[in-house]
Amino acid sequence: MKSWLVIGLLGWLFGVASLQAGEVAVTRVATEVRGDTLYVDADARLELFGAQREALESGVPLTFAWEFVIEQERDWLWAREVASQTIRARIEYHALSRLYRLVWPESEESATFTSLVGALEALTQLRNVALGPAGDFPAHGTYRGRARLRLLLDTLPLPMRPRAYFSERWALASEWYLWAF
Amino acid sequence: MGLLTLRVFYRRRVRPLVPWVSAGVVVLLLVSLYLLTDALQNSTRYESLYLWLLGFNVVGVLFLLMVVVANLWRLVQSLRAHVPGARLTMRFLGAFVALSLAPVAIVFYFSLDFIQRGIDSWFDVQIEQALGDALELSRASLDVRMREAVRATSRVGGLLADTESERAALELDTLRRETEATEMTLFGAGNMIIASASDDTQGILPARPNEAMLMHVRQGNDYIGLEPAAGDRLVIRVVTPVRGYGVRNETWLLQALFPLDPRLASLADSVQEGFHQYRELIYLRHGLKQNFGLALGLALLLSALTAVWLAFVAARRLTAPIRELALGTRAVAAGDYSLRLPVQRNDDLGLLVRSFNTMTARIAESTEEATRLMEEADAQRDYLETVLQHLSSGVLTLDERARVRHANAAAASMLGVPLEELLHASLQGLCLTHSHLDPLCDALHAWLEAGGELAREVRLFSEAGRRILMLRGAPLAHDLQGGEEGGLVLVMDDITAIIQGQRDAAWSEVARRLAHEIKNPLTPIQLSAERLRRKLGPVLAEDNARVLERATHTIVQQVEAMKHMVNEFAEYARAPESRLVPLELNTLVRDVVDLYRGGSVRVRHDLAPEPLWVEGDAGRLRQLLHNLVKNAAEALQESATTGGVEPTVTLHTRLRPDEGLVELCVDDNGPGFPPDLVEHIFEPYVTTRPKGTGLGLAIVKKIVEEHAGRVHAFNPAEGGARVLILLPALESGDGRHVSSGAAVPSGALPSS
Repeated sequence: MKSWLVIGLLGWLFGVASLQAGEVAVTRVATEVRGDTLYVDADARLELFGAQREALESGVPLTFAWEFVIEQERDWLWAREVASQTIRARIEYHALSRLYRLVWPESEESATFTSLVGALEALTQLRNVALGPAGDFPAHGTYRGRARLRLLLDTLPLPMRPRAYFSERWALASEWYLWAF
Repeated sequence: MGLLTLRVFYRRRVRPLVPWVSAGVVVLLLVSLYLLTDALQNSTRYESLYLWLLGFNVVGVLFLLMVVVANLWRLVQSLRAHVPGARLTMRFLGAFVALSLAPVAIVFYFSLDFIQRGIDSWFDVQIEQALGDALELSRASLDVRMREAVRATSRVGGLLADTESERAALELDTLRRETEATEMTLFGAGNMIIASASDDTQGILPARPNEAMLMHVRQGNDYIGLEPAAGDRLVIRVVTPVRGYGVRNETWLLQALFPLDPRLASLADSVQEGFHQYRELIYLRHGLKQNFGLALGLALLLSALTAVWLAFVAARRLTAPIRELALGTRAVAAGDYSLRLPVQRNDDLGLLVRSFNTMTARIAESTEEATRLMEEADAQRDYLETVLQHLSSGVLTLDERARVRHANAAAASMLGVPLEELLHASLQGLCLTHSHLDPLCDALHAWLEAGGELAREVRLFSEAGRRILMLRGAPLAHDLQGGEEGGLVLVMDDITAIIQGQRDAAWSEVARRLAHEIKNPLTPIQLSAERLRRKLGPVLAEDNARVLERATHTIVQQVEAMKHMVNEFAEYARAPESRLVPLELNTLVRDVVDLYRGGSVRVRHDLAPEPLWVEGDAGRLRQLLHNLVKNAAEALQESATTGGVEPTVTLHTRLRPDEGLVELCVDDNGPGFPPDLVEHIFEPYVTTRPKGTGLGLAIVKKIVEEHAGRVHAFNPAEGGARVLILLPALESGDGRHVSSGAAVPSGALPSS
């Protein structure tokens, strides 16, 4: 959050217009209680610009983050955050095998793909993400969720960051996808 | 009001803090810049703070820029307002900035160039090619191992074809060991795991092939891939179709994972890592240059702005005493000698300020002394002025160009020129406009040419009468210290009255002695003559008796004439015995004129409409009128040169209310007074007639003086002769004077 504050300040100072989302959008989010856990499935549409493809093939890993926030609506008070989850996924290119590798750092799982499209599909089709115990979400409550997928610029190599911070091509962040359950 | 308060608050509270805040910002910027460059060198300590450091640097530089712009604005305002020291500050600033910015700019240019060239020198086409070739070589080397893995997997697939699943599960581990695979899994319909064998006893689930691999295999091809696995290991994944057991003719999939030879894997990993890093460096080269340029630019801006700001501070500190000195000089020039500048330094400028304070202190003392002396001089001048204005002597000072610098009222009165006109007038101009001053001007010109001191008597003639002035003059010394030029001082004493008095006294004495010495023998002479005629007349012959009769008759007549003359002398010399009472002059004139009606000379009057009251002796004034009318009538009769015009004597009276005087004029239309006699016309024995005694007008003058009046005789421009008499006027018959003066002032006559 602090990075975005600084980005906003610098953007204002240098006269840069507000950062706009690139070719990324969350298209579907669904929640389901299985057993004692609330799971979420999410789909997104993600297209990388040439700059990202070039960076990826040059050995620069790209780290994305799925962000989920669940809030409980209340009649007379503002909504209360009951759960949040951030899931990072890193795509890197392996020059020796000419494969793309998708790594989920939190679960230490990885998968390889012969094409970038396959890796992106795996990234954008998120399944069975546990948001929390089902007991935290009583059935009588009304819940509002929001989700987004964005590229984490802070994980880029330092020399790339100043340019990435002020370049629209690197502003890969979807709008918040809102749903209720 | 609010804005003013805010401005005062800013000047008193905020502005003094700006230098300290700026210094703090500079120090923080230096630290921040150090951390920024440290982060750019891949230091993981400050990498997370990179954005904050960058933002702080930008904000700090902007703050310094604002400080510099504000200082520049103040300097421009000072230059426009011509504030003392502003131009000097500008010059100091220019010199400081030039001295500091030039080396900084040079260092920046060469540093930037060095960085660009240094980064470019990291990369070489041959190295890139070599790394690519090494990668390709690694792939070729791995291809052999991969083909072996495919053959081994295909052989195992052939062995497992048409094998029941239970049996396949039993044989799979054996086959895995034979083929040296680390994991071997048999997938049935729907990708259900039929059997799996692995040397990893910890693993629960085998690695499944993804959809792309499955798609490839379902098309009847073998899938083979070198994949990075966990722990940066490389594994060979082979997926091949296997004919399934049963009547449904299913196609199973056999996946085998083969490890690489550790040495080969290590070499391949090293090549991959080197290639990867080199490609990444090439890709980041541009950004790296930009970042170093940005850091260097921030360092340049920080240095330049700090230099300019310090230049402002230094220039202001240097010029502060000079500015204060300039302000002090202005104050001294404006007459404020009380200003003392604060001495805050011990250097040469401090010495200069101390000297300035000493100088102003001495000037203040001198000024106070000069002021005191001036006040004393003013007091003395006022005293002298008062004395001069009340002197009976006229005092006149002239500058070197013969221009009147000073004159008192007595001088103006004596010269018959208003004081306002007299002051600052040139002597030449006065002589041109006032012809009666010619004798005075001649005397002064002669004095100016001759030099030395002046002591001379001059006589001025005007309508006011004759005035005898005693002039005494001396040159004035040059007053070099006071800047006063030299000139002349002229003191005039009106000695007319003195001389006249002396003359009158002399004449009175002569008259008295004549009356005494002559009148006494006259009676014996007359008696003796009559006795001779009475004693000898009868005894002498007729002829002799006639001679005796004529002789004695002549003697008696002449004695009578001499008696008459002696009586007149006695009358002239007689001490005044006037009894002055209020009387109305018009009535008196009218009575006298009535006595001359029917004579050979017409006597008329032209009287003022209002009653003219004077304080006088009716008998003496009547004698005065008779003398004047008789004198005029006799002059007209003797001259008989009126040119056919009826000889007329006119008596005019009028009031001069502003001067408090009554004017009495006796005019005739005769030839006038002889010019050579008009000066002495009121002196005894001065007459134009052969038979006159010359005492008539002398007696008139004496009577006028007995009434505190003045008399003047002159020939008016319209012809004839005129005797003008001024007497103090009374408001009415109760004796109060019209003005405060009871006597006729000496300056009253010229205005007539």
